[in-house]
Amino acid sequence: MFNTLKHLVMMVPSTIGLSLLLALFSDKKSRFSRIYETLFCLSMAVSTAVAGKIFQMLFNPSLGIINSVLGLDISWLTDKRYALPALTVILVWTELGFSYIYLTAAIRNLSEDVLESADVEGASRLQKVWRIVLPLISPSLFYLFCTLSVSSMIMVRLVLILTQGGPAGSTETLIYRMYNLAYNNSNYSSAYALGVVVFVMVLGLMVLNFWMEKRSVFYE
Amino acid sequence: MSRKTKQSLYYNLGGLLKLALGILLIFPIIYAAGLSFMDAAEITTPPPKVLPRSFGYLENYITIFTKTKMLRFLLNSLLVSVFGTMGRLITAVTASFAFCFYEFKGKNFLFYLILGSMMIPGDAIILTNYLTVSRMGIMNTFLGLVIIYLVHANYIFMMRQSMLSLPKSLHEAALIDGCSSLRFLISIVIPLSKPIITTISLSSFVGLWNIYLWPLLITNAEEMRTVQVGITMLNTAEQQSYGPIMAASCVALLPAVVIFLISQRYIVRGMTAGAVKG
Repeated sequence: MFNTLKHLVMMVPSTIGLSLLLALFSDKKSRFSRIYETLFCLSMAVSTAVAGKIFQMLFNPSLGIINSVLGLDISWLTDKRYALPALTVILVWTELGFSYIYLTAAIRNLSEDVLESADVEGASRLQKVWRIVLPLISPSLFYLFCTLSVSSMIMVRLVLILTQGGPAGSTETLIYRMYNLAYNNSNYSSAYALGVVVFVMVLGLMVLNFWMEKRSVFYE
Repeated sequence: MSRKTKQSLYYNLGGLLKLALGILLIFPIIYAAGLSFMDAAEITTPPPKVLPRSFGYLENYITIFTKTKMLRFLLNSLLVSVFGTMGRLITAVTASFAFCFYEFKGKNFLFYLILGSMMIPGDAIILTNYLTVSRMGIMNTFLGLVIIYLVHANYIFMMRQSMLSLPKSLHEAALIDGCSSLRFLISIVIPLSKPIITTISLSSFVGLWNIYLWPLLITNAEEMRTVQVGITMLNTAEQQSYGPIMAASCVALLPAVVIFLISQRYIVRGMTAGAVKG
């Protein structure tokens, strides 16, 4: 259970943060727009299964690129401390594409007037972003936050493909446990109970998100 | 340097930086493509490389098509994607047509029911679906694979949004002219909604091509598996077959990427049409 929460806490801010950074860079259409937009969002088309296999190769301690480029010697998927972050990295990469497109669309839809008047009043770039752009795209950020947190609560595909609960149970998520109980232990009653519990937790998460929406999302 | 050249320098540098970032982001795909053209010896000798010496080594691809049931996997995935998309399109178009152009008792209740079903994460009810489907006795069949994907509330919603923009008077005028409702639907509404239908079908195809969990549960015979599940269970003759696995991954992601690139314009337009504006 804590694994799921750790994963959620790691994944959602990183995805939103990274895609926000990328989207902020591309707020003006330029000559290169078409190319790099396509490149950035290509990760949307790759399925989790394929991404898992590719990253399994990348994370391979002796043959993969990551260890040799960074000069480290960690066996990512079989080390208790690094298995879960590795899975998080894979999922962040997969979700970056969609989040990027969504946020870029939101940023490009902002009206020019507000941004120009901020320029006239002498706001620095950082101030413009923090105080104007972010509040104005907060509905989109909220949507991403909702959907990403729900999908990371029910994360199970990567665990099934790559680690099966991982070294010493460090990558066992809630839904994986449910799957395990139902299939490998034929313990259907516990599996059902767990399913209901997860559903209630997801519901609670959504309620939490909507409560946060009332407090901090700014609609016109 | 003058201000103008300095500005254009920043502009071009920024563009190049973004291009470099883009290539970094799709690095895993490039890596997989590169590895699929390397033979086993080249892969296992240090230091690890990304690009192969030459693109002529096609053994990996030949292996996966002759020694495994890759073609069958691809066919299964294709059937699931095509039939699922068709089912979703038919239900979405007819349901949203009913919601937009008709008034009937319980309309609001039904609509909220559909909206509510959007909120339930699919993976959480997978066990219930599995038990239902297995009791129906259609495990390991195409019907079992496709059945839970024939209706999608999201697409009903999207179609409804787009149909709402068509004036109701159009329907009345058609009725007055003696055109039946069904003919109205087929000859007028559908051609008018072509963009959104294209968006839905393309994005649904890609989504169905990429699903993993349901086909994994519902099939245990190897011939019935879709390509996503199949490549994770590839067992070829050699023990550690990195090259063929990467080749299989490339083949598995190729249709989705190709369709995605073709339809990128439509999908982005469809998404931003439904986006909440600040």
